[in-house]
Amino acid sequence: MIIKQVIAVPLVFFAILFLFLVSCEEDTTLPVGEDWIDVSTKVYFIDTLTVKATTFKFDSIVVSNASRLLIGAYTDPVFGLSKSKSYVQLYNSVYSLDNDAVFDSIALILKYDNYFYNDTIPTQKFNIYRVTQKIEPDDETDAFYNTTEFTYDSTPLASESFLTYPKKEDSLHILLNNTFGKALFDDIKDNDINNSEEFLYSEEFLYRYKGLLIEADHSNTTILGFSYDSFLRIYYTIKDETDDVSNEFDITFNSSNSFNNISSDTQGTYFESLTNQDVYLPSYLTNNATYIQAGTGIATRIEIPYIEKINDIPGTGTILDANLKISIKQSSSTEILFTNDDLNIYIYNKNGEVLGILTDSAGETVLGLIENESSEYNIITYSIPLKYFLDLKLSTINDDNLFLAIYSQNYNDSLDRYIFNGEKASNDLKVKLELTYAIYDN
Amino acid sequence: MIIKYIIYSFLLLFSIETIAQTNSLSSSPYSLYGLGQTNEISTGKINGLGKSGIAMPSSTFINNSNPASFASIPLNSFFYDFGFKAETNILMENGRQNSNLITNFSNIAIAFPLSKTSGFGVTLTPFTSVGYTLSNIESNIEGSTYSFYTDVDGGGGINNLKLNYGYALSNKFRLGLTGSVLFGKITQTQTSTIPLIANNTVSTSTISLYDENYYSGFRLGSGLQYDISKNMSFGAIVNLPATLSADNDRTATSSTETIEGSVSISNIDDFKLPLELGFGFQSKFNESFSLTLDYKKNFWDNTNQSDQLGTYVNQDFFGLGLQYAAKKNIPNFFNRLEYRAGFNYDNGNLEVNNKRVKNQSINLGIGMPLNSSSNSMINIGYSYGSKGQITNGLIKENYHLLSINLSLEGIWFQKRKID
Repeated sequence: MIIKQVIAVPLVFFAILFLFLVSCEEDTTLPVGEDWIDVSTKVYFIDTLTVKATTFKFDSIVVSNASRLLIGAYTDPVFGLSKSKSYVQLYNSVYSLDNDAVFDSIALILKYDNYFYNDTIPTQKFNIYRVTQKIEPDDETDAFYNTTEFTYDSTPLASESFLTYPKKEDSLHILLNNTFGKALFDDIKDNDINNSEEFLYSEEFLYRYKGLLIEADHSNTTILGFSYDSFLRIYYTIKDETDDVSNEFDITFNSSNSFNNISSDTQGTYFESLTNQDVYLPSYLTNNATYIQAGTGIATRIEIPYIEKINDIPGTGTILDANLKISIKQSSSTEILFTNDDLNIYIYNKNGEVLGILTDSAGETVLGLIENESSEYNIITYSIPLKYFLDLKLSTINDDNLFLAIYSQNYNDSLDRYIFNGEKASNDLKVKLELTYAIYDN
Repeated sequence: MIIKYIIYSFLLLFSIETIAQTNSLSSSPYSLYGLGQTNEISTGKINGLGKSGIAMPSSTFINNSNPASFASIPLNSFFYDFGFKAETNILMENGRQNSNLITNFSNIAIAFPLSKTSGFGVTLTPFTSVGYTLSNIESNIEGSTYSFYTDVDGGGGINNLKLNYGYALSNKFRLGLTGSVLFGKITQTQTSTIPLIANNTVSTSTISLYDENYYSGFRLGSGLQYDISKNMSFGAIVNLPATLSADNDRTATSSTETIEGSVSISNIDDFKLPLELGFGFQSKFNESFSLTLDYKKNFWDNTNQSDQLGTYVNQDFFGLGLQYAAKKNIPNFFNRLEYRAGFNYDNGNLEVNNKRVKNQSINLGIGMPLNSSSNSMINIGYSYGSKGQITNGLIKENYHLLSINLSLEGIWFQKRKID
């Protein structure tokens, strides 16, 4: 009892006091003494790592799922004669016509979709042919390529010269051969294709009318974009007791079996030697520049061959930020030979296999974005976030197998071209890697 | 019964130990170096007496300064000591000034006699403590003209669990042995905010480094006390050199990802404690006055240690204390108080830019008995001191330190005459 009184009471009292005091502790910011400490983190800004920029050409690119019909041709001072033609399949619905209908004429109506490239002022010429081979995608890959061809009757259904106003007008109107139109008209009116004994209706229609090829003359000066809502229109009349009534009948396109064949004649250009996907043209051999041409598969390859050199910096570190800066060669992007604000970046390997689109560390797709645009000095610089790619390279055993390919957006339905400054250009314009690297343990 | 209270005491001791480990007990930039600020606060009356107590017995309270004193614990007494402190410091560096307030536990101790001629005690005190915050330390991003900024926080400390044993060879001569288990964790967080230059945007990335440095070691010491006469005593202590082994854990994280899990890197050096010799003297005169005088030397030179701030050099401590206690024959409250004054000085164990970080303080103390039947007492000490100087890149730190020690005595096996 005595001991309890002497010991226990003060013990409890001070245990409470103690808890109170502990919770009272106060810590305030101290601005003094900062010279006394070594900051363990060291940060380096490095823009001297080697970047190898080359131009190469994909053997072929997939053009299925294109969003427009791309038809035209122009002779580019750098890329040579660049052209695109469209194969279109007619849509095989169940058509019917009045027995009294009389054929008048047939026209191809192409709806502008606002895309055009190069000079639209001179007279353009389109030739329209009748395709003689079934338009279907590649058996193995179920895809159309920019190089896919089908045979056609060399006698054109139309050969039309015209002035184009892709912004002012909403469509281009081309009259086709009347013999072709009358035959098609009669087949529908007589219900021949509907009552075939040999084929199902759809196959019979497509057997007789395999499709059209719309090709631009090589002397054209522009590439035009048309919507898939374009169609064939048959004009006819129905004789009434008193009057003739004009009528029309539309056959639309089957967009899933319509595609663009896009190519360029590289003879006499830098790209003459790009006969194989394995050929890489160093920028210093091509006017200190690298190139992209959508549609034809010309792309810029970026190689960072010595990234592991950052491990020579003593200590353990991490890449905080990495950006590839690549700028458009001055005056090469114009109002009619324009470039877009975004670039698509893909990671691919030595064998030319695309491993995937470039992402950031969180798996979000990243694009090359315009970082600096000065119309006064005609400077357009893209910045491409490469932290994820470099981390991947540093953690991959055969890291020299990984490259970047820079494509244009709309690569399957445009002929947009880019000319970039290479690694030998002046210091503020050349392609370079800017790296923020932190050492956190040494 | 006794065993029960011993168990309770130990339980309390160890529950407080965990708290002692996790709280920063200091807020001084000087706690950046070494293992932090050496704890200045001792048990009982010592805090009011210039920290001098090597020659003082433990007959009325726990004197942690010399293990030999534990031989003088009276039979049937059981001592406790709970210490608390509140410190406010004012830091000055070339026109800049800042102040902090820290309150915390400063010690817990028990001591009891083993026989008429021997005694034993356990004391838990902070050995060192760390607490600092440095903001916006500017560093260059190499290869650019940009800077990044780092905030640094330090915390933790080393605890000293000290076992003291004292044995009296005669009425006048006492010997003691002490063993200290030193253990604790010192932490530092460095958070760097790094601008990402390449993006022309104001985006930043952060890197945080969290270091946990674990120290542990054992130190042996011994002491003696000799009563030259009834009013005059002499004491001496020696603490042997010891090595605290160190283990480092660093966790690095960046704002985007965990860079690396916790990896024991162990790239920090073990910490060496030097040989410590100390001598003390106590004299009573006029029945009411008692004078104490201590001198200690720490042989840091021999540890060959240096810190990024400076090198370790031999350190001398001086302590002087005077106590007045009125004659107890007049039963007046004020007459039963003990009045203390002291001064202590040490020339520092760190040399920065050829200047030493000196520490000096004056102390005042008062002891208030809790009852007349025991030696239980509340000891309140106040110190005003300074560390360092403003010149030569040092920081001058002035501090007010209030310490409260509850020194309790339990009487065992003694029946009260009146209940």
